[in-house]
Amino acid sequence: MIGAAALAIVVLSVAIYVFGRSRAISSAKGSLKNLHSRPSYHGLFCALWTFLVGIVLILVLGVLSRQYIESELGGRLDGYVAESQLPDDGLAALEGVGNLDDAIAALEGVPADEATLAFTRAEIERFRDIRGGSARFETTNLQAQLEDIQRRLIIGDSIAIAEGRVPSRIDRLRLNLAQEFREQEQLRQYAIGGLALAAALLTALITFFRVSLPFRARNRSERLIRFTLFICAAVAIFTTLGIVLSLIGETLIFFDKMDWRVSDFFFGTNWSPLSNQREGFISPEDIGWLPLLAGTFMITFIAMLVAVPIGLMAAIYLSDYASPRVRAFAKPMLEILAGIPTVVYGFFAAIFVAPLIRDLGQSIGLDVSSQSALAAGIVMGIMIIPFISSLSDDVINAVPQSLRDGSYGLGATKAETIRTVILPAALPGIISAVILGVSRAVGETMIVVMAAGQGPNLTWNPLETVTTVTVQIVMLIIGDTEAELSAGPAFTLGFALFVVTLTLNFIALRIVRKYRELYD
Amino acid sequence: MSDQVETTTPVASGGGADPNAAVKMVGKGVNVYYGDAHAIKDVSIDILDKTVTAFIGPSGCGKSTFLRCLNRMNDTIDVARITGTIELDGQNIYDKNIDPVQLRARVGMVFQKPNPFPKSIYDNVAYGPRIHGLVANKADLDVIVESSLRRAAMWDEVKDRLDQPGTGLSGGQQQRLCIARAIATAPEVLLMDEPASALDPIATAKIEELIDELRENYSIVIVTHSMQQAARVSQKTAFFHLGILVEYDDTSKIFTNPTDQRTQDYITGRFG
Amino acid sequence: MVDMKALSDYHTSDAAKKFMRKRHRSEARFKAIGVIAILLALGALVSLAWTIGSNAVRALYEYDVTVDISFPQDAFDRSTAVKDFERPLIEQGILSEDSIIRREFRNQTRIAIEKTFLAQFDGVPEDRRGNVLELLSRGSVDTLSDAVLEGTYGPGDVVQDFPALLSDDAQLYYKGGFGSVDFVDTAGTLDLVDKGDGRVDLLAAANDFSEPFALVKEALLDQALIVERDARRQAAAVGTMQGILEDAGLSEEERTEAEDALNRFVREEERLTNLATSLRQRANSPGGREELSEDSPSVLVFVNGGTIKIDEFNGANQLTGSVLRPLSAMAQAPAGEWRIGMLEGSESSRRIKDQDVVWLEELKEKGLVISKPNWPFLLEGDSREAELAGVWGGIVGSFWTMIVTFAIAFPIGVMAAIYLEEFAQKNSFTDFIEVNINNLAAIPSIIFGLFGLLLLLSGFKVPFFGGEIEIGGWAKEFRSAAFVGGIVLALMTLPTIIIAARASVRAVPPSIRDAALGLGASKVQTVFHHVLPLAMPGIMTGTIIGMAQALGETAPLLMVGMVGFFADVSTGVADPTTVMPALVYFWSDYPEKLFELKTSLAIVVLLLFLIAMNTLAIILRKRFERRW
Ligand SMILES: Nc1ncnc2c1ncn2[C@@H]1O[C@H](COP(=O)(O)OP(=O)(O)O)[C@@H](O)[C@H]1O
Ligand SMILES: [Mg+2]
Repeated sequence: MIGAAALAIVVLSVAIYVFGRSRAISSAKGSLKNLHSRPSYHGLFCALWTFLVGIVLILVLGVLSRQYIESELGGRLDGYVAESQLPDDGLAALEGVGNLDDAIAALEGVPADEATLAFTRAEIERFRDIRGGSARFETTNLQAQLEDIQRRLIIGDSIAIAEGRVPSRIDRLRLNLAQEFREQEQLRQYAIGGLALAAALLTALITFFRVSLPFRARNRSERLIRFTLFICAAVAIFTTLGIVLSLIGETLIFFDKMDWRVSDFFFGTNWSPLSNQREGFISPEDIGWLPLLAGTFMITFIAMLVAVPIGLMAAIYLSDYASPRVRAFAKPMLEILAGIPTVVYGFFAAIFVAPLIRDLGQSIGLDVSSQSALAAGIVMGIMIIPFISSLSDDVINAVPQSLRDGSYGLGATKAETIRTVILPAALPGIISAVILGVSRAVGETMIVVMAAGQGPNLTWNPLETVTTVTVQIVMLIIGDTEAELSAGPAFTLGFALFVVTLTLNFIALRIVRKYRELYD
Repeated sequence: MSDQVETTTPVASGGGADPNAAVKMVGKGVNVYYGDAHAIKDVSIDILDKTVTAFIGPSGCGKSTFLRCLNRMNDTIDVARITGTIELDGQNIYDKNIDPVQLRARVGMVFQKPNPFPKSIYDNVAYGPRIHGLVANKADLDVIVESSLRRAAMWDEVKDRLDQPGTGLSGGQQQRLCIARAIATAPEVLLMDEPASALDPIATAKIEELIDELRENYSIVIVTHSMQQAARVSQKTAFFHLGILVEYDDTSKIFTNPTDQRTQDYITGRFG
Repeated sequence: MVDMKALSDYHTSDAAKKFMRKRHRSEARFKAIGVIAILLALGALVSLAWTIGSNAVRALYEYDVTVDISFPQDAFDRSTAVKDFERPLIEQGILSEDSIIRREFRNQTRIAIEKTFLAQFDGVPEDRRGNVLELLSRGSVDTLSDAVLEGTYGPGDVVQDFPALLSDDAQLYYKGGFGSVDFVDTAGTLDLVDKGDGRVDLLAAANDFSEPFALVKEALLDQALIVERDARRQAAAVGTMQGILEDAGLSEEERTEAEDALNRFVREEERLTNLATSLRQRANSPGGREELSEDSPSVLVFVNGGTIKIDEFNGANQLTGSVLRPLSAMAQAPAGEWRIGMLEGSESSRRIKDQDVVWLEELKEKGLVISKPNWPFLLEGDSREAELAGVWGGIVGSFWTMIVTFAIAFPIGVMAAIYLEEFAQKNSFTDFIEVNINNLAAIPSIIFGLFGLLLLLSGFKVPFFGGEIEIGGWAKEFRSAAFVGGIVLALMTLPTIIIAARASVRAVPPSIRDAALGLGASKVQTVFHHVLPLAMPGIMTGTIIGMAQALGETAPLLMVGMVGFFADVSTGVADPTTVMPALVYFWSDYPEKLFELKTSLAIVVLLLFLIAMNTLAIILRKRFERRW
């Protein structure tokens, strides 16, 4: 229905374009010169307004009303619980079970009413088919869990039935809910479609009657187009604003819950925000982010140790030494390195580099964790090499040829020229490249998620496992914990990360700007 | 040394070369190619010691290219290829056992655009002596820096701010700094590619005066666009056209009685 | 003044020549460092490509066992499918008859396949049937039972040459993932004595077992190394404990406790040292009795059509073993008619045990195993069984996500670029927009993910006209869907597109604008009729590059729930789905080795898409690039 309404609005826009245009032509009475704007602009003016009003209304109403129905439907299920009563012996058998696969196995051989057992098994199996067999099966509050499982299934099924997809099961309850959903949904769609279409029609009429000889349709419609363009440009602002607001908002709410013990976050050395998740709260003693910060910077440091010398020397070699053929080969290779998704680097770290380093360490008698900071750092360094080398290449090439000539003309070798003239001249640019590289490394997620550890560990030893800010954000969000509990620390970490990277970026840009002034 | 502007420069005061001057550099059948482009065509020339030689000719005729052959600066250009021989004191500088890096210490170069390094004035001048290991200690280095700056007629201007960046000087000062920098390496030949083209008349005059002074010790080759300049500072003049050395003679001869019609046309301003 | 002539002479002096040599050496060093840097970078690329490539190649093929499967006459009877206790549940609508029948038929199909499979072997003891069946994948049951439900096969039918997929471990064995059996030919006869209970004594006439015996001894050395390392650690612990005991400030109680611990540590150290010594002794002395454990290499004897696993050496020529595949006779085997097979890796280090190896070798020997291209990998959705998992779901999910990303980022990006380049006045507000665009480009992708998450999470309420309004939550129904993922990636890609589009709009020469404006066109007309078409190739190039980045992005999608198990292939932007890079991440977490191979192949597929996109961008640039 909404699709139909949108289509109708498009058709209406086209139609009003034609009508507006012909009205303009007829009002000109044969001499188009009398019109302030050419007829097609009158048409365009009508069509643009009609289209914008209709589409914007559909979008806004669509978002608002769906939210309303969802909560309505959820409320309908509050009464639904009784059916999933598990026998007590069944509950006992499931106590201490880790995941859904085990839960199903544990039901085997429970001496209980066969029908109830079959039912329970069917429910858990269905849930397993959705979540995966290794999904966690909470050992506390089994009954509520099962009910929750069922409730989610039922809502999903109902909507599936209503939308004509295949549900995991059809029963009376689901059919009723689906029926209800369908009715509400239909009502909603008719309402939205109707409203939007009516508004578009009204706009069409209003604009149509504005068509007249002196009407400045061209200026008006161009102004509208400019405004649309402006809004698009401002999306960048909206996005930044959205990100900043959402991060700040959640952070403030979180600190509020933590009684504003902000220093516990900044200076605390104990990070285990979910240690009280059973009880459903987070203790301010558990939110010290220093171990994460230390881990992040250790991995970043190792990455820079790899990336800066290699990237810089590669850039120098390619720009000043390599023959065109070598350059034509090596540069695209480095670009390939830059184009590889980070998840691939993460995989590479996990299956190749980390075991390699562990084995190397063992062969010389060192204890190396299989998720050592070293492995993650090295691979992250490899990822950043092309970044450093291409930025350095730019700044090295930006050093004017006349300086090189001056140095060669005095009888300096290439190495002397590079070391004593080019590098000092390019230094600000290189520093800003390194800072940008650091900002990248700090915000990089997949490599550390796949290759670094999860245990917050305050250590200087790069052979041990450490965790990072991004890893913890990921773990908090994709873990099984309720979002209500885990969102707070995750968004707070996100905000901190945002501030750090933005600051680094800002510094780098300042340096670059200063440096540009030097040569332009 | 005087900073006064020389106002009355007679045409062709450079006159002719000292007939006793020794031959410093000799080019024999030099050809230069940039890829497929033939930039210098079979040029042979003798460059005299303690003499200023001017290269003139319309733009793109190969003056700079030939100048850069004299200290093998063309080696730094990937596409450049050179045939023929150029001798310095009788030795072919394109010989395999000649080190271009060392050669450039003996044949110094000053460029069209002043290109001081983004370092202090002192470090700019000390750059050459340092890399070549010309001096053993700081005191000697100080002496060389001072004497080079004096020779370049700018010691008095900068002696109080030797630690300030060379890039902060005015255009004329920068170019004289570059000359001082080139002198400090103690070359035997000094190549100058339009050293005054980016400068105002006052600065130009100073540079010309400087060139005249330096002639006592060096063989100087200067590329210039300005006929007046060539006439003022040089004793020998070479006229290049489309990569060919059209005429090479005493400056006075070239400017008063050229043999070739093309030279005649050029110096009377018929093309160029 | 300095004597310049003297200084000049220095340049041709020997001292200068010597100094020059030093300078050239330093030059060569510097250059070498550059070469090393390039080689290191290329080396990283090569080892990455090699790691991924060598794994991916091994996932290109899969192994089936071809068998004829016959269904019994009384199979697939709908009337007996539903059990009595299930009837009331059906009536209540809790279970459906359909699903019960489906389960029942599937069961019967499974039994038929399993029966047939078991019949392929020379003899499998009752208690090991389960182990044999673990060599089969669940997947072939699904394929066949679907065919049964569709009525293609019925009771009493025979399915000719049915390709039953092997389990992931079995596949991996054939791919060489557990090493392969090294065969040694024999020079002497072998006598066999049945000891009953599946145990056999073997007596070799020649020194045929010397090589395997040496291998076993070598393994002892390896074990000794490990034990020695443990002993060293133990010694370190003893040292620490002694250090603690020297501390005078210990209470009596603590002291006794520490002394206790010290004693225990010392005893353990002694035990380990002794063990290591004895291991070394056994390894270095020739002959002797050697019992093979789980940690020893495996020695198999293929004789008289059967297979014996060696359990014990009594010297090099006299052995005891257990039968893993029945022998046709316990007779003496003539020289050359029997073989010895060795597996270097110990049994405890493999998921495929010696018995499995024997079975799999038996299947291969009987010519039942075929390998075929792994097309299902491309055509199937995800599965929790490594041998069944495919990337189609990820490809389709990525496709829909990219559609959403493009639909949002392209028009907005282009219009924003046009505004900034053509219409915006240079003022602080446009500066602010610029700064924002640059900053957006530098924000870590995971933060965009958090922003996307907020669209899914309700609960973030802010006061609004006296009441409260929920920010977030409005996209809840699209959790894990391409729709939300696409929005997040679009916001991320926007800066790339805007920057590229601005550059190409700027590159259109002013003369074209002037010409159009001079003919009386308005600014808007000029831009849309003349500038934009000319800038389009450049814009498209930038867009494709931005989309390629988005295609490889994982972290933000992690936040909006697109990493996980999605059995169904999505059919539109609203369905929950995963995407290619998310699939890579999700699979890489599985412990199964076959998943590791498949992850590599999935990466190759992803990279192929990226290469295709980037090639397209390069072609576009080359073909349409205009220098004004
Ligand atoms: N680096 C270079 N690569 C290719 N061609 C060049 C290069 N430098 C100069 N040329 C060409 O060689 C010719 C001579 O140039 P140049 O010696 O600079 O002339 P002049 O200094 O007399 O103006 C010109 O045609 C110019 O285009
Ligand atoms: Mg020139």
